[in-house]
Amino acid sequence: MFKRLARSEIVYHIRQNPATLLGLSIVALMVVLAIFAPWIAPYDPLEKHYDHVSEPPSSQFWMGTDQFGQDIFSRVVWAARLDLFIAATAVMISLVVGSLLGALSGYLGGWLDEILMRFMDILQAFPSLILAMGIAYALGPGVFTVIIATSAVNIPGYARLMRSTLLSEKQRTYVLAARAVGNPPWRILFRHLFPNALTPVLVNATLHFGWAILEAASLSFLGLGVAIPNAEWGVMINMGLQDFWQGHWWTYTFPGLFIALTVLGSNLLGDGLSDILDPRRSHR
Amino acid sequence: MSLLEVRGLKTYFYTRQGIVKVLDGLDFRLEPAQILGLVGETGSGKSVTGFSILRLVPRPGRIVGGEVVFEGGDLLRLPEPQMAALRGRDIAMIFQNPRTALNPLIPVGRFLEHVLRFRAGLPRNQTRDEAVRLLSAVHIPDPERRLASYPHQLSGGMAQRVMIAAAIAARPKLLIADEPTTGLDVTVQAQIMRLLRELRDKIGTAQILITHDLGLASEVCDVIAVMYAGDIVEFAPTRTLFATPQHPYTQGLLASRPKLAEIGEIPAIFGSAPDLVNPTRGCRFHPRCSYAFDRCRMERPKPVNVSPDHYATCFLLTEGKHA
Amino acid sequence: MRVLRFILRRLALLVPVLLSTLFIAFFLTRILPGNPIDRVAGPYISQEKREAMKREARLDLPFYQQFYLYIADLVTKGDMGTSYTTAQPVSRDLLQRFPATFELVFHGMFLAVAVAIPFGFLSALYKDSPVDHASRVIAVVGVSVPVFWLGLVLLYVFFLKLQWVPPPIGRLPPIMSPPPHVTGLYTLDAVLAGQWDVFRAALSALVLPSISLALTAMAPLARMTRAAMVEALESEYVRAARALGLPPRVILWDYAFRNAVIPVLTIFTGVFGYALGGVVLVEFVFSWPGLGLYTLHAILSSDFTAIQGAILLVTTAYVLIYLLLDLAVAAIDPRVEV
Repeated sequence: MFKRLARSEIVYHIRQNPATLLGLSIVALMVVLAIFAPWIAPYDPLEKHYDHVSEPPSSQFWMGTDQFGQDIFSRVVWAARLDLFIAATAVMISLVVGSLLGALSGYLGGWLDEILMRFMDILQAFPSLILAMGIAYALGPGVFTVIIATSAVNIPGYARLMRSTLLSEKQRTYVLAARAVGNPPWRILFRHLFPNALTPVLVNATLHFGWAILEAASLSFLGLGVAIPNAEWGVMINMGLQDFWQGHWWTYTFPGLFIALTVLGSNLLGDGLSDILDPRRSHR
Repeated sequence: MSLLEVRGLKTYFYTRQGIVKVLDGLDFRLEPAQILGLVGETGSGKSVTGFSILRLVPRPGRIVGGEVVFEGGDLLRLPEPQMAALRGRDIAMIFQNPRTALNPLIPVGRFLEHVLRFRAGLPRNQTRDEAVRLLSAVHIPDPERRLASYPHQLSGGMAQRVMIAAAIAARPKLLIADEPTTGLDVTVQAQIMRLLRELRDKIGTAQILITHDLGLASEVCDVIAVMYAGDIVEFAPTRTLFATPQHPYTQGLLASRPKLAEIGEIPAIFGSAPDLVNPTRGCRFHPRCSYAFDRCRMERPKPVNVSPDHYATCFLLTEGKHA
Repeated sequence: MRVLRFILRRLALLVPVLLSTLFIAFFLTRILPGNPIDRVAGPYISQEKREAMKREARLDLPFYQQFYLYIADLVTKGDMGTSYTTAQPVSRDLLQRFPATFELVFHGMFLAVAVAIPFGFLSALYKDSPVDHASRVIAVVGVSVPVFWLGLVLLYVFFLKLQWVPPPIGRLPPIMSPPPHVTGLYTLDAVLAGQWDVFRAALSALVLPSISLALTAMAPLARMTRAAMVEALESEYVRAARALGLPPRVILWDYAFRNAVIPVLTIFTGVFGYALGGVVLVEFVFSWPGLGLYTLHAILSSDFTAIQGAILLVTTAYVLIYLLLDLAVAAIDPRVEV
């Protein structure tokens, strides 16, 4: 499905939809920030400037400093690196594990399918943050925990997608033909079935990415994820909360803004992608 | 005076790929209590014609020109409230897929009572009895019990009858039936067709039967209009059409019906559906016509009378040639 | 009495779900490396005391026996063990903290529904108009904004700068005592007791937290309402109804809105689940003494009996809401088999 769209068509559609373009730009900007953090950030994110504690934004510290004298702007930029890394990893793990499970379940069918899907139902229906908190409790706080928690909750989504694609394609003639010729199951899976699921999976992954950032920040904000005082957006907001009563709004406003922007970008991008790649669209 | 006279009706669809001129100057006439069959293949514009008459053309379509004269008044010039007053009362329409045309959340009885209350103007205490009477008029068994049924509990045939019951609740003068039996069993098809004829005989409802099935049309219709690419290519009383079709397309349609007695290849009409965004110059059928000559490629033919009640839109007639 | 059987059948589903969730909770606390007692007791407890605590917590018994005994205690005595941080029975803790969270969630969801549904409705009706575009923008932004950050920003503006709302230190100002206990919901109890000043104080404390909660739940609800309404308005049965000339008001309400409600109800559980996560964050920001904060503290101090109890309660509440929603859908949609 993806390959059928010529590159020019994709560009055309993106241009038609300014929201998607905006989403793409925002995400791209964040990625650039994340990759080039060491060169963009003026200060070390953990460097404490003891004579510039809790200062509002100035020409020296563009987003001000927090209660430890750390430069907020540098921290925000470095946090982009950490948060985007966490989210990307979580999405990757979730995608691979979920897709494999879904494909297996759909292909093998039977009671394995039933049980697995019931389990997925429960997992998907359960409030995600509570689940993530539970995992955080079991594994203890840290980056690894956040990645696991954020990926675990979204596995059912990918599993379902894979499974439904599989089920609908399994009966198609070309699959039966491939089997009749003697193709082993895994080749059928990879060559024929996975590409068809690519589109919805891609859309799902984009939306998941934004959501993963929210979850990672939430967990860290609660103290169950990345530890204070590392540069992570949720952690920074937590530190801002501690400092709230003094009215130092810059400590939490900027990191939150970045979270919102990144998630917004990925939502817009994901929505736009699903519009573009929707096979029900009438194409010439 | 004719009940309905359509003159030069133009309905265009404004799509991303361009303007699709589905109807580009359609003309036909319908007499009171007459059943007209509008026959054509998918994309010929027959359904759009039905919608245009009721001014319910879905987006991105729009009626851009022409006249639809109903009982002497042009419907296209009416303000919307007055048009809305006509719908369901003077002109009604039934659709192809009866199960999806009924609201799954509303039981049959309540649905009919809605129509009766709002369209036939019946007071509330009379609606239930009249609903029962309507259901029996369309031959639904055990009508009192059926009032409580929901659409998903009805068979296709029964759902269509319910739709017909709702459509005739206010005794419309014109009923437009858009592919009413496609998707139903053949036996049920025959029943519905019989019902439609009965409506005309008993209540005098004129009907436009929109279908792709020429054979079906022949069972019920008094006159048949054959449509192709938004034009009526031939118009004749049913028997005449079958006996002496004049237009190559009509002939092709008739020839392509499988006949019981003969064995052998079924002649198909070559070529594919016409492109309505950039229609070809000249006659819209000429790319698929075995008799096409130069004039066909240049000009659009006009209707030519073969007899007072039979015309065809083809240059063969004006050139004195025969198909 | 088909309805009763329907309810009972769904309730029967509750049991395996609860059991499996509890099993997972048990599993998480006991199987993974490290001893729960060690984690909660800290390094300053003597080895003897530690062994005694382990025995009391039944950690010396095989896993399945622990699980069985826990269930037995729960069913026969309603005993979920004792919390290691509050030294009270967990069940008492939960009961105490429940009304605060309930009040918050109730007000938040009520607000969300009250705003989202009309917005989605109007958005669909005037599709592609400026109002539609504006509300879609707001919706997508609402879904992207972290709820805890929003709470902080709102607090900054409306408390620190404008002083329109009380400080985020609890459900009532410290000098005021709560109304006589009837339900535990301060707003309701205050009304029942006629204490209007308490009512006003409790309500103003609720404002910002419920708005924060509502803003995140509003977005998916508004989106779904819009999508469902659009689908209904463009459906075959609406077209047929229009062709029959039914008046626009009837079509809008009985044909479009009624049908659109069903998909909205279906996603409501999901939204509710999302809100339950959000409640933890909101309680943290506003220091709201509810179950969310309780669970968080329990996790931070490894109080595993409290965690088990909290998970049980959350699951029960969630499944009950699921049941209620199923019932609502079955009541409206005749195609659902009851």
